[in-house]
Parts: sequence; structure tokens; C-alpha cells
Amino acid sequence: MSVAYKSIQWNRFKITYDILLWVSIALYIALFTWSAHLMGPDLDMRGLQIRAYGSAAFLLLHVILSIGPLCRLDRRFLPLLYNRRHMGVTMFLLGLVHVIGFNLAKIPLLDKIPSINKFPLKTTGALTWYHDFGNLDPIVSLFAGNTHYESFIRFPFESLGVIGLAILFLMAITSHDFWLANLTAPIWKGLHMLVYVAYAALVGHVVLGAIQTNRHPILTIMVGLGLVWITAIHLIAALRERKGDRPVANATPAVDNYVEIGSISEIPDNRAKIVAVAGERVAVFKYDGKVSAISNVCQHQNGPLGEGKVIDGCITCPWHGYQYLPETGGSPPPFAESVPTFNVRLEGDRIFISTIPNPPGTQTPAAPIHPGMEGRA
Amino acid sequence: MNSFAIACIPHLMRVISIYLTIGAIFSIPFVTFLIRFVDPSARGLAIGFRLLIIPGVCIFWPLFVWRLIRRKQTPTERNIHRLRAQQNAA
Amino acid sequence: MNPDPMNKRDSQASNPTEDEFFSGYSRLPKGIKRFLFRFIPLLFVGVALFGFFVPRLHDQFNAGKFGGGELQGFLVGEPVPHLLVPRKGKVESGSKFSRYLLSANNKAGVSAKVTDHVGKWVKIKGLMVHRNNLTLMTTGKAEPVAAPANAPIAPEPGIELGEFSLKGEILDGKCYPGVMKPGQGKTHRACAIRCISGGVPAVFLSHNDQGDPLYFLLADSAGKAVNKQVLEMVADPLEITGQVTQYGDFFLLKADPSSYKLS
Ligand code: FES
Repeated sequence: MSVAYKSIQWNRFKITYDILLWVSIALYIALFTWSAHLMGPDLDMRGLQIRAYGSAAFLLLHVILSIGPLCRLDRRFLPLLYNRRHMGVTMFLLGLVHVIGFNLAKIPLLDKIPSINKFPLKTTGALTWYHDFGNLDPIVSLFAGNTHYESFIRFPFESLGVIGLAILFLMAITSHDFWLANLTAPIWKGLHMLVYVAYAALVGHVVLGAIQTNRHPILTIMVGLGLVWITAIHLIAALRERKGDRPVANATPAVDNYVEIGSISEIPDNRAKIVAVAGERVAVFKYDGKVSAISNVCQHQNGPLGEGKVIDGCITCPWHGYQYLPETGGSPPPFAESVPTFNVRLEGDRIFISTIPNPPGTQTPAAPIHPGMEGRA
Repeated sequence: MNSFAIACIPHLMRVISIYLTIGAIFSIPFVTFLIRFVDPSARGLAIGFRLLIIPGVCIFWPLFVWRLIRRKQTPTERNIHRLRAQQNAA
Repeated sequence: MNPDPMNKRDSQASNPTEDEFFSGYSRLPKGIKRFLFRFIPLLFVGVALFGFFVPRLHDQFNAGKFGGGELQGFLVGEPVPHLLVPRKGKVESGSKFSRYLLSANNKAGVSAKVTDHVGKWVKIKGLMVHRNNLTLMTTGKAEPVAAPANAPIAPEPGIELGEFSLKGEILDGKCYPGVMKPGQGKTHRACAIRCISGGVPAVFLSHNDQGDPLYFLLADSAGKAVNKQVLEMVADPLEITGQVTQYGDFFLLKADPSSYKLS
């Protein structure tokens, strides 16, 4: 038995999150348009809207890419991560509007509604604006208009944009949990790691496109700073993570398949210590005067369970709140997820865990902490 | 103007649109009833959910055709802990 | 032994009573809430600043304008169809004509309904787009009219200015003066290629030492249109060496397209 899929498992937090997200985007587009109007009141807005949506998507991508490392540096950013996929889908939609525009009257079925034409939100996309009304199909013009792939300065920036948008499209259409379950988290994550390829392609798209035409130094500096920022926080977060992830198995050789991983006193109540055992991270939790160990890899999106907390007797994932019972590694019914568990043994205040994982769902007794154990170091 | 590109691109677009069209046709029976043979969590009406996954099915339809033929369901991920646990249990 | 437990990272973990943890379905813990209440407004300020200042960084706000109009003049076919309109009033120096480039309404040159009348006086109705002294009219057809009584007899011959090497880019005579922003440069390249391949006049934009734009109609050494030959070089930085002829406020640059150099 498992939980039936819904389009979106709405909760108050997600609703607030989405409202804030969409309000901020509407604010950006409105300010962009207004500010441009101030500069030249009789401007034709169509070409400008292409940039408004393109730049909005590009800025949002920077926010999206910052959330992961920021969460690793400071856990208080975790609420931003919780609904990040809606941000990703939104970013894809902004990119799509940048390319094909937005006009309700052109959408099949909707075009049947009378006076849908009067709907005020309408924009032209780059595909129509630059490639249509000529002697070639716009798509053909898009790819054949420039084929100087051998040159850097003349490089077809359009293709880079297409690569970026194609990846974002793949990510957007696979964002539902159905895809996580059916592609499995590692493959899904691999697919979604392509966001870095998309980012590289889109930086190229902006540098070789917009910036080549619009040589404003500040624009160039901003894109450069964005790139430096994204690279830097990823490096810092990775270094920090590396520090806390020294493989223990090497430090103390296993004695009859158990390794010593530390002392009881270094684990706060209801929290875990993460150690690398059996080739992957293990989360060793202390709760209710007991110690249990489960695989650190959340079955949902491979979030770090060891950075979670025991809430209502369940290990709760810090990313989206999936829960696992510490003694079986299984999610409480009706949920069906489960992760491998590890046998735990205490000697004094030292914690030993088995190097052989138990199959997911196996009943694995927690090691009780006897009075006096904790104080002796 | 690159005439080779101009000649090739329409063919490429045709291939892509054929692939997507097959996916779109397959997606209709898939999301309405075939899906429950692949993933038991797809239950109930859940119209929103069913519509939401259509674009993805248009792309990944060969995967589901394969699973339906092989009568396989949603797989469980393979990571080192799970593999070792499995080996040990065996 | 690992002396650096992961949980050190969690500043709240040292005090178990304040060990805050966020999960989407429960209420936001106080500390996290306080943090978000400070951080999210900051994000919004960022959004507002970007929204206001990013459009200010664009240097493509050009003075290109549209306007409906009707012109009467002498239709010339080479190197590209254009219209010579007698100037009103006293013409002290320079040409007796103003010159207007012509194109169709889409990304194409004028149709046979216009070019059939080359060498005659015609009336043309259409949309006028202009930027600086470059003006183009988009139209579907031309109607022959009688030559005006006081009209200059025939277009004057051009003044040969000699050979020049000019740096600049090829653009189409329609989008650049039009409302495309930018109607030039790399982002606009594919669009310009479509226009020029469709028959919209190819214009070479260069600048004088003062930075003022100079427009040159392009023709090969025989004075014929070069539309088909220049497509691969549109919007690229070019240097063209050729004979410049002045027709009033209009310059014609004659050079074989195979001699254009990337600069
Ligand atoms: S990764 Fe999503 S809940 Fe664990």
C-alpha cells in the first residue's frame, strides 16, 4: 500500500511559497516594463518583453542554483529548498515565454472562448519576433540562421539557449514525485544535475548573444559576478561537506564487522551523526535514550537523513519531510518507502555500527543507552 | 546561408514530432488506465496528476512500454547500501 | 575518531530546547521564521532593484519610428528598388530628391506589383519607418502617375567619391530603422538574414570619426544588388573596401562581396 498521487500535495507553506514566488516575478516584469517606459514612452514593448522574460528566467536560475549550497551552509535556508521544484518549473515557463511568447488566444481550445483576445497579458517571443514572417520556417531559421560553430564571437548563441531550455523542459516535466519513483532518485537526480549544463549553456547564450549586441559594461560585470557567486558557494559548500565526511571505516579497522564511529555524547538528542560506512553515508541517531543507525540516503530525492531530526518517533528528512521509523528504516503506513538499517552496539560511551547493512524494513533493535554510559568519555 | 542545415532541419523536426506524437497517443490510454499496472500509487481520479505527467510520458514513453511488456513495476533505486544489504540477505 | 560531528553545523543543536527543525507540514519554528522574515524582504528588494535597473542597461532604445504615408516619385530599380521624391522648396545644395528604400510588409523585398513600374513616376502608399536619415517604406503596390509638371527631368548622376575602406556591419534596411530593438547586431542576425534573403535592401552601417552613423547601400562592382551573396556575413564585424558614390544624402558602396573581410 502506498499513498495515491495527487497533482500537488498542497499545504499552507507551499501556497505561501508559490504566491511569494509569482508576486516577485510579476513585480520584476512590471518594474522592467515601467522602467523602460520611463526611458522612452513611445517604445515598442514587444522586443523589450523578450528581454524582460529572458532576464527574469536567468535571474531566477541564479536563485535556484544558490539554494542548494546555501542550505548546506546554513540550515535556515531549508524552507526555500522545500518547494524549489516549483521555482524550477516557473523558470522554465519564463524561458518558454521568452522564446514563444504568451497569448491565450493562440492556445488550442482556449481560442474558442469569445473575447479571449482581450486578455491583457500578451507578449511576443523571440522565435516570432526574429524568425517569423520570412521565407523560412521560424524553427529552421532559428537553427540555420547562424552555423558558425567554429567561431567564438560568431557562435550561434541561439543553439545554446535551445540546449538550456530543452534541459529545463526535461526537468520541468519530470518534477512530479511520480517521476522520482519511476525513474528512481539517482537517475532523476542525474537528470536534474543537468541544470548545471543548462546554466553553462545559458551563460553562453547571454554572453554570446545579449552581451555581444548590448555591450554595456555593467551587464557584463553582472553576468560575471553571477557566475563567480554560483561557483564560489558551490565550492565552499562542497569543501565544508568534505570536512565532515571523513571515512571512519579507514580510521578504525573493523572488528568482527563492526566499526567504532564516535561517542554517544557528541550526538545531540533527536539528532544524528553522519559517518561513511559500507561505501555510503550512515545516519546514527540518538533519541529516547536509544541509538539507531540507518542509511543516510532518503528514498524520495536522496536527501541527507542524518541532517534530519526525530519527530514523533520518526526520522524526518530535512528536505521534504519524508519520515522513517528508526528501528526498521520503513516509512509509517500508508507510506511505502524504506531504507536499509544498521545494527548498533554500545560499549561504554563508544558507538559501534555494523558494516553490513540490513535490507530495508528489517526490524533492527536500537541500542539502549544505560545510565552512566554517556558521562564516561 | 547554410543550405545543408536548411535541408536537414525539417527532417530532424519531422523525426522529433513523430516521436512526440507516438508518445502523445500512447499517453492517453497510459494515464487513464495502463498506469496502474506500472505504478500502484496511481489510484483514484486524480485528474490533475494524470494531466500533469502527460508531457513527461510523451518523452519517456518507451520506458513505460518496456515496463508494461515486461510486467515490471516502479523500481527501487540501487545504491551501495541497498546492494550490500541484498547480497547479505541472499 | 571524527572529532567534528556533522551537527556542529547546526547552530541550534547545542541547545536541545531550541533545536529547531523545518518540515513543510508543521508550523515554522520561531528562529527560522525570524530568519525568513528578514531574508525574504531582502529578496524582494533585490527583485525590485533588478527590475528597475536592468532595462536601463540596454543601449538599444533607438529613435526608430513608424508612420503611415503616401509618396509620389520616380521609381529606381538598381541596385535595389527605391523611390526618388522631388524635394519641396528651394534646394540649394545637394540633390533635388529625397530617397526612400522600399520593401514589402513582411521580411521580403517589394513585389512585381512595384518593380513592374521601374523607371516611371509612381504613387506608393504604405508604412514609413525611419531612423536618422535612413527611411524605408513598406508597401504592396505602386500606381503609375503622370510626372509632375515641375519635376526634375531625370535623376542626377551620382558623384564619385573614390575608394574607401569602411568598418561596420551589414543590416537590413527594414528592421534597423524599424522598431526592432536591437535591429542590428548578433541577436538580430537571423532576422536580418531572413529580410535580406527575402529582398529587403542590404545596408552597410559604418560610423564617421565623430561616431555619427553613415549608411551605405550595398552593390557589387557592376552596381547590382548583393542580397544573395552577403547572407553569411550579415551582422558580422566587417571591413569593406570599394567605390563610394554619393546620390544626394545617399551613399552607394560598390564592392565585390567576395572581397568583404571579417574585421
Ligand atoms: S529527499 Fe525529499 S523528503 Fe527526503
